[in-house]
Amino acid sequence: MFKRLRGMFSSDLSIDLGTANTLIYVRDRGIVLDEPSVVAIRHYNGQKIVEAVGVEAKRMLGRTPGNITAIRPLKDGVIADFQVTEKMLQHFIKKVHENSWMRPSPRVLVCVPCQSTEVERRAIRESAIGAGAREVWLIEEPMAAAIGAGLKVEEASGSMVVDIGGGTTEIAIISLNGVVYSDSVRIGGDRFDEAIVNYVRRNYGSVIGDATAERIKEEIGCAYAGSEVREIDVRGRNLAEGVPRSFTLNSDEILEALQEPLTGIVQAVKSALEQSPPELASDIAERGMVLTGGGALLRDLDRLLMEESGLPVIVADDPLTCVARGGGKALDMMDKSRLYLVSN
Amino acid sequence: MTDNLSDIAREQTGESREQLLDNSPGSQLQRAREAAGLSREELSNRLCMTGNKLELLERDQYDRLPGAIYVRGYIRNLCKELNIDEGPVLQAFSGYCSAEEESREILAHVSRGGEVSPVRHRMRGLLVLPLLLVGVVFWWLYGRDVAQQPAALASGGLYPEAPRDELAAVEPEGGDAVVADGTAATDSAESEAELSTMPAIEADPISAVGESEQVPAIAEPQAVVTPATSAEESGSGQSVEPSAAPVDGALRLTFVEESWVEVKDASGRVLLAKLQPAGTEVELSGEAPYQLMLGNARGAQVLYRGELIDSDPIGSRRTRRLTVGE
Repeated sequence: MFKRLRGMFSSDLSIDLGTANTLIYVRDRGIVLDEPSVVAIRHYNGQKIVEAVGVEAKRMLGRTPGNITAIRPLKDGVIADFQVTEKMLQHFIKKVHENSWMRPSPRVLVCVPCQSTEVERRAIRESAIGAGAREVWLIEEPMAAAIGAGLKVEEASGSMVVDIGGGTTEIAIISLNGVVYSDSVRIGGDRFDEAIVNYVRRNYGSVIGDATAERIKEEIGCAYAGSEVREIDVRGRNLAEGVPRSFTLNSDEILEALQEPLTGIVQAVKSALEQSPPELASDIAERGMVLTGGGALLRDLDRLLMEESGLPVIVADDPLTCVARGGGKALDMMDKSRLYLVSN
Repeated sequence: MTDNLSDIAREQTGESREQLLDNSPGSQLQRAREAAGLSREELSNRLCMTGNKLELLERDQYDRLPGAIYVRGYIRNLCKELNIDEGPVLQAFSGYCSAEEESREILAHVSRGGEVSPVRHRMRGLLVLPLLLVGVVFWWLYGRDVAQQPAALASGGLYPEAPRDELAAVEPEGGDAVVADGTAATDSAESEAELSTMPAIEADPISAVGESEQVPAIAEPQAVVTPATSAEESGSGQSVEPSAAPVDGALRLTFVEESWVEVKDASGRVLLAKLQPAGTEVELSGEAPYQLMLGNARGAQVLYRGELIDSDPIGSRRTRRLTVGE
């Protein structure tokens, strides 16, 4: 009773704590925050002071003076720097949830990779509590993605979700509100960027930053040959001459650069299909698999997976926000019935 | 003529139905497929669609297809393959499926940038604030006094079962009779005959006791109450004097207005705890210092050893707590 009364004055938040971006969904208000998971820290007299968080901090990435470090506290979907993650969460929660003596701290649902260890989950939970959450629940990312995409997870039929995030790709087969099979590979948007940086260094003898690599990926990146060839002008520092040089990249080159991470994802999808129970495999073959996450926006990735798996592949509506929205829907579902898809 | 009109109306209905069918997602896809020169089988194979899904899509039989999310996905894939804009087809499909609307509602929540619109949430908190304020004011005005009463009762200060021999004085004409360790009231007829016109302090205790045997002797006369007004009026009455006069450390309280009063002496004993009517005067003796609590401080006057003590209320309060004789 008292809990319900307190609940009236606080908002429930669903946080997609991603390697690349953090999204926060507030019940009845939708997605209110979508910012990069980046924190800029100033070192002053041996102390660490948070200089900027989110978009501002991302602008500083690669452009900071000696006393400021712009870091990404999450790596491969899990916390790499506990204290900085806590500070970042604190900042984001404060931004969306006004604290006052009349409003208690929010209840928070955080999405975690399905292959994360108990230690990693505990770190995320404690980090959220440290950031001001009253109560913390964890939900596996592919389950949240499936709910957010609009799949009927409670039905007795198999649904396959491939959530390609910044740090990891989560693959899951879901039926009856539970995860039947799940796998997580540490390949995601960051690996795509890394592959582009390496390709440019190898073939053009120039170094480009992560932000430039990301821009290349977004503008001309593609996963399947045969589509229209696009070009982009890029400036990088020539390694031999030591001066900035400009050069042009095309989508075929980027496709070549992305071959390695893309193969990893295709292998993981094939492996999931191989290991799925026959009845569920039949359901998936009939309906297809659903792509979510920022990686799903890579041009023709659905076509690649379709060709490789021989199954229909569809991209969810607004794939970037699927996980956060799914978390929000899970919060609603939790109030109606205690779901075992959420671990407290 | 009538036949002609009905023919025209029938033609118009037929045209609008055809137009509606033409704009359905299925017919749009079918037209695009035929324009591309592809058969259903060919297109299905390209998109890895098993069974007769494409046929069902083109006939707009969505109830035999998987959920709306899959249908939207198939439509998007088909549009991409046929190089047509997916917008109009998806828009046409939205009218066919209620689940689709549900999905749109979720998307409608997506609003990046607009971070906090806390007005509504603040209002919820503000609703409770006036109630809380009223509660605090109520407690301040009444609750504190009420809280004092049980304490006084618990310590036996208010109308305790005092033995008759502890009675100190009796008040004439049915007025209040207040004794430090107990209170007793005799009927007014007896009082009139027995009480003296003089204040109790000035009366001769021996003669008083001798004349009025009905009044029990006072064993521990620590406080004597004398109504100031009644003393003058009851001229014929004889005073009932306690066995001992009040000691030097006497505390005199005069009430111009009705007021709650509580007096404790240094040992913590409650000398007086009651609602004192207007126009009465109380004299108490005990161990100094005394702790006083006046419910209506403005209507009470405190005299200690003949000296007037400041007992005016502080600020806007009515009550006053003070320690006298420190």
